[in-house]
Amino acid sequence: MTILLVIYLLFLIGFIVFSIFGLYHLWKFGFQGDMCKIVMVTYSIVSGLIIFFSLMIILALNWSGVNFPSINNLLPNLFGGA
Amino acid sequence: MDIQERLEKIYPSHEADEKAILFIRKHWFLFFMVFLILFGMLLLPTIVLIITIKYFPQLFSGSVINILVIFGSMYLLFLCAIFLIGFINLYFDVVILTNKRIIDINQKGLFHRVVDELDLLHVEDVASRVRGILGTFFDFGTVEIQTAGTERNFIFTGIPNPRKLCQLILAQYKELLKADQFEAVRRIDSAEGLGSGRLRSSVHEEMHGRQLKPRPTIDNLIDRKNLTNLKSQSGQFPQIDQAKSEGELVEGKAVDLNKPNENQILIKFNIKRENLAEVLKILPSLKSPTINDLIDPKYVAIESVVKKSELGQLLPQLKAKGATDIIQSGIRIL
Repeated sequence: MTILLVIYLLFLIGFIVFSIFGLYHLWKFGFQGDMCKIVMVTYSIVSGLIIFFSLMIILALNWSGVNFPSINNLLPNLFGGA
Repeated sequence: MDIQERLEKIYPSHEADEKAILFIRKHWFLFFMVFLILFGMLLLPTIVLIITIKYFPQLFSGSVINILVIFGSMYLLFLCAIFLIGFINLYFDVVILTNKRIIDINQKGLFHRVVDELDLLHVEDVASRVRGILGTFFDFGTVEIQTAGTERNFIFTGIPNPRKLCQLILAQYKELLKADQFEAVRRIDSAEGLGSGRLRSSVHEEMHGRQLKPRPTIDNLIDRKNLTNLKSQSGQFPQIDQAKSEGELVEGKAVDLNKPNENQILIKFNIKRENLAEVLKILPSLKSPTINDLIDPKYVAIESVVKKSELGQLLPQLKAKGATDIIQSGIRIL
């Protein structure tokens, strides 16, 4: 499952870089009294909260010995098989 | 922040005397649509998740929760990113109408920004289109500007109150056209030496709704250096001195150049060549009399502009010198 955490980490880095560019765009081309400031604050808070809570949950979860579930294990559970 | 300040911030390379008239963003309904789509993208997986948890709780055990947390948070962040891109794309799509041109700023993603400018004088036709129930209900639509020549047409979509934009563009176009014609006339006047900024016809007076300025004076037409020479040679050109003394050539006085000159006339007569020198001594003219040879080599024909008031005195003198076939006619100085 380490690969999953690495993917998430890379995604997070990409997202933060993108967010910085996006927020810079809003800051640079926005005007006083327009929607840009509100969007910047809202976006920062919402995405910050998502990252914070996801990290909290990820840290709280047990990642040792966790493997990708195989389809053979999932299907019996799904259809109530043996 | 007013429209002019916005223009300066968003488009700092505008001309110094350029004034922003209108600043338009996309209609708010398009922003609402983005929110609606994002809300749907959020709601649908949530509903699926709730149903799955309720009816298939056995699926959420072990490593499935870990995967769900990872991909769930990634999905939520992805929605945030889509919201940001959507907002920037819509919010920074701006149409600015100035007193000289239309600036269309088209934001395509974070790093792709297209700025198109259209000189208002190149506008040929403006059309607004409101389509569909939503467009009619919320009053937004498309404005299409057809341009002259090979320039591409301008199409603004999602514009609130498109008819108003059309009217403003046309009104501004007319204003600019008037100003442009006035400027063209002014340039022609300047090139002709008729003085800067002088209006030449009542059409321009009507266009600008102001008083017609004094029409070009003779002083504007005559090279000032030559005029100085003329002044210094007072008496040599009595008709000009006379005109000046009567105020006709006084600087600043309105003179209609197209009207016949009532104070001066053109006289023509024939005279013997041997008397030519004596006649020229008494004969005034604008510069010097015109002398033409006749078939009879003993005679010459003379033309000269003389003051009407002096004609009575001049004619007996000319006749005394042998002038014959005397003709007089009115003149028009151009």
